[in-house]
Amino acid sequence: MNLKNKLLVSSAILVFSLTAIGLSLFIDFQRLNTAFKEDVSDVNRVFIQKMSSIETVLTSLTGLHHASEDLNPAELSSFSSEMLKAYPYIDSIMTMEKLGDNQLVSYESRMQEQGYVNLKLKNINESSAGSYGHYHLPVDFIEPMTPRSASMLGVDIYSLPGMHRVIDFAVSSGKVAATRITESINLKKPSLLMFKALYLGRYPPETSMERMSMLDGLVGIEIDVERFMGFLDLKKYAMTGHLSNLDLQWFTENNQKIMTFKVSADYFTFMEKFRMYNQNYQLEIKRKLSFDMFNKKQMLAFWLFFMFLLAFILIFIKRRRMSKDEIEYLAYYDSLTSLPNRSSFKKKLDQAIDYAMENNTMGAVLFMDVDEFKRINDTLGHDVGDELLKQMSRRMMQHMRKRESTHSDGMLNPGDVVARLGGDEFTLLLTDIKSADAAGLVANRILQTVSRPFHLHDHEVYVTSSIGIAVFPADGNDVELLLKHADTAMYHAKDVGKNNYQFYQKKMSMQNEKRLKLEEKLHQALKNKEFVLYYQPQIDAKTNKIIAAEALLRWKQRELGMVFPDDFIPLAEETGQIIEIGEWVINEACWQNKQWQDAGYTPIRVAINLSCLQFMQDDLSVKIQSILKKTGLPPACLELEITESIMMRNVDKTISTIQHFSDMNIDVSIDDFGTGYSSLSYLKKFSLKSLKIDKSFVLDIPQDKDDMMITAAIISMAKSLNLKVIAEGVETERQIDFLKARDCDVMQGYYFSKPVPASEFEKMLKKNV
Amino acid sequence: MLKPPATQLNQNPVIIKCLALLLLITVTIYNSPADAKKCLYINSYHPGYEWSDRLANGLRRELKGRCELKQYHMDTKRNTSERYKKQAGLTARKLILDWKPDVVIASDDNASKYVIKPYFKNHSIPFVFCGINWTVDAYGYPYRNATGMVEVAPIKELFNKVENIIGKPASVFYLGVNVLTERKNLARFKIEARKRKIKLTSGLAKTSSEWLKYYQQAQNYDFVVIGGNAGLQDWDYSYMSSQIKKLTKKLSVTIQGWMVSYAIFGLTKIPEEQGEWAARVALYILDGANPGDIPIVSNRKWDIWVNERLLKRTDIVIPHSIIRKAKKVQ
Repeated sequence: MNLKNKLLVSSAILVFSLTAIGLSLFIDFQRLNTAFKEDVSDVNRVFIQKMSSIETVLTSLTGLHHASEDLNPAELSSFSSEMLKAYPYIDSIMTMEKLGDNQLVSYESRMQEQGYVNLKLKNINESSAGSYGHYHLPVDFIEPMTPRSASMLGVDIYSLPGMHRVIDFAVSSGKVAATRITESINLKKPSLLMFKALYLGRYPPETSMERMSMLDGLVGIEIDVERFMGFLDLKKYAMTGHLSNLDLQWFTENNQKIMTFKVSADYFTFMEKFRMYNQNYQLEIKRKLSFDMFNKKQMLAFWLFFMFLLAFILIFIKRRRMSKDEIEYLAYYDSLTSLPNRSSFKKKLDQAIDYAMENNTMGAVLFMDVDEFKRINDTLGHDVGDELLKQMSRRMMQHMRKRESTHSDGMLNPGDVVARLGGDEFTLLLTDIKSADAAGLVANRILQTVSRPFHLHDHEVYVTSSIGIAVFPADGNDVELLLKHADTAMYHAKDVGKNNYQFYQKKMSMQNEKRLKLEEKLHQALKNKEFVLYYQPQIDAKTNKIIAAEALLRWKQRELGMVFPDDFIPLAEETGQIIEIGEWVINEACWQNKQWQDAGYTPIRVAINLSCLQFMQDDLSVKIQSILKKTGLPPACLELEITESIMMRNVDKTISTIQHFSDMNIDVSIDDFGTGYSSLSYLKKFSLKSLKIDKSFVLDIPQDKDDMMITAAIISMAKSLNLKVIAEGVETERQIDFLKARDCDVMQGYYFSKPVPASEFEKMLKKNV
Repeated sequence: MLKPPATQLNQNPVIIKCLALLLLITVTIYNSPADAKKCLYINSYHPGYEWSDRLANGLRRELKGRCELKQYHMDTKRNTSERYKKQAGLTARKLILDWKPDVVIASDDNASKYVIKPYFKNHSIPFVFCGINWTVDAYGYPYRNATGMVEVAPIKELFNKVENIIGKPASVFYLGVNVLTERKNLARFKIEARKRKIKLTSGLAKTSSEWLKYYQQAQNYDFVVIGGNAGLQDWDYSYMSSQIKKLTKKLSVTIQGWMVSYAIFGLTKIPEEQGEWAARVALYILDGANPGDIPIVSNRKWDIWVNERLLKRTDIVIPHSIIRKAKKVQ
């Protein structure tokens, strides 16, 4: 991994980690926020319940006062202390007696009599003149009475700052009224007082004016705000709360409220602005955010998930990149050999041509083709063929590398390329060469390299190659042209015997054109019925009668005239047309022989040469059987000739195929025996009927003693193998004598007849009687 | 005879003693509060006197564990001579000055009269009084160093209940003992009776027989107020109870808890209230409060009693609501 990729991956890990943690935090944050809201809802409900219960206590106290005609301090104390036990968040309960100025003396005197020594009315601040008259509301009872709370006795509540509005509301409405939160005289802490008015009589008056005129006093409750908040169980919820005053402008009607939730980096905050008991307050509840609140396991799980996701994405990207590389590779490289392919080669060749043009240098394209690769493919199978190509490409690459290391000799450059164009076609690009000879040297070495044996799937295979060389810019400055010229030169190399290299020459193009034209005509030949069969008789050496005829293909091309087999059979084999042509030959020969038989001539065999490709066809026997059936020719009247080389290419298959024909009662003979490299041990295994001594041995009899010995040996060997012997190329009596003397079974050659058209052969058949 | 090998400690008893002393000092320091406050309780009366015993109970309950409490009983209920009372006051003074309490709690009138007023008015030692009947005028309270709770009786409420039971009475007999407290109570009853235009006749006995004589006389009035019997040395519970049972014809009421056995109806003060308040104020002072800033208050709790045993001897019908509510004298 390079530095850039490392940085990218590191950044991705960082981003994904942060995203995972962020997402986990966000989800937790939402959860915590929801939990906070739920908890706030609970707390708020408790808050409302407790405030309502305070109102209930006030109502109970006023109820007690109104119900009792002579409520004494003992009774009030008893009731109040029970209330305080039941509602522990109430700090004190007090009662206030309404007094006019003229009642103050008697009040103080009465309190003195009750034991409140020196108790005087304590006017704190404001005037006692309220909206509904001039009066005082001194505290005359407080529960619990403590050394501190006792100081409240005698305090004129109405004279406390801001109390007129509160008490006037309580008096005129008959409802509970609350003060703003202030530091209490009694508790010395932020507190609020809540009041409910006491009226004369048993039943509270109904109108505001009546209420004012019938005011008897007040019942009050004091609440230490902080202590009260403690009863909301905020600690249990890990929250803090604060109740504070709110500007009176906010609300004007009771039970109005605005609730807001706020979230900051440190706190969840709930804020409720509300009006209660004719007073505006603000309740603030907070929960501090801490890392402990967040789910670390979830965070880890998210992180792991995101890391997995990142890994997946990275793998995906990598695979995609690899896939892209692979596509690019496939676009420019051959998948079998890993060599640059045609496109790549063309590109590099184009660059090389430009370079050569610009720098006035020379380069060369070497076009190499494996000789008879098709044969290897067909006989040994495609796997072996592919393996050959792979090994060959490796050898060529090794060779190129070897040459690179010795580049100083000027033979190869680092920019030189070996490519596979397809099939068995390889190309080499040589750049900046000093002369065409350098390309020749490289070609020669490649030929040597290729000619070394290949070990392919337990087969030792020998192949050769042919190389065509086109030099640039001399032979062209165009990619296609150069390749074409190199290809032409390569074909020329094949034409001149294979396993060599040839430099392109202009005349080759003409030959090539001729070849191409011939190929084109060959394609049309069957359709145009330009093929004809000639028959050469095979004579029984003992009876001198015709016992068989070898069918030989002739091409009477309309424009070119008679084209000889050597000129078009290789071409047909190369182009694969041989299959179709061969089938026509079998069909025609069988038909003709049947015609002769039907004409009453002594039945003879007709011998047909099978090309390698034909013989390797899996369905050959089926086709032949079909032809025999169609033509009506007995199988025994058909003989198939195959060469030694065909036989030996795939021995097992050959054994099987020959056995199959033997089972069909079709004779199979070896053609051109002695020219190939048959393994004699195999001959026994093949179900052969006869072998044909190659005419090259017969032609020089009796001049060539060696040929005579070979011929004699072949005949002797054949006899010992129980094979009939057919001698080809018999042209003289001396040859006949020699062959007869060696007990040759059948003879064939110009002595008896050259190959003739069917009509002429028929004449011979007539005489044969 | 083999002896165990002597250790260094065994060989040196001085070290052992020093270590033991060190341990003792450590334990002592550990067990005693570092800044333990000292509270002195001066009782005007004597142990066994129900009022002051219950008051002391309330006091001790509140002070428990909060300060070191020492008590001194002046015993002036049983020893009524002026000389004795003054001597008791001097003894208390000496104790206060010697022991130097952080706060002194003084119950009932004589403690104020013979200790606080003569020796500690506006002294640096703070005082909390309690159980002083009705008024503190005689002692000149408030002082800068003293506050407390005045003991008032629910006289008004008692009269209300009497009217509730027998209708508006025209006459009442107050039966008590010739002691300061009783004289104060009588004065208060007289004020309330005057307000209600009820003729009040009183009898403050010096002996049990005199008390019974007054009780027999009281049966000629609409109802009888039974004061406290403290000061009557010859009071015999069984005899007095049986005599009262025989003599009772009219409604008898009391404000003293320990006298409910001898009266039909009672609205009784609760002595513990005095003690509890005194203790709370003492603690408040120990916390730093200035006694002069703490108001002098009065008691405000009382209980309701019905003596059904006596009630049966009469034709009096107490309303069901009161019967149901009241505690019953066993």
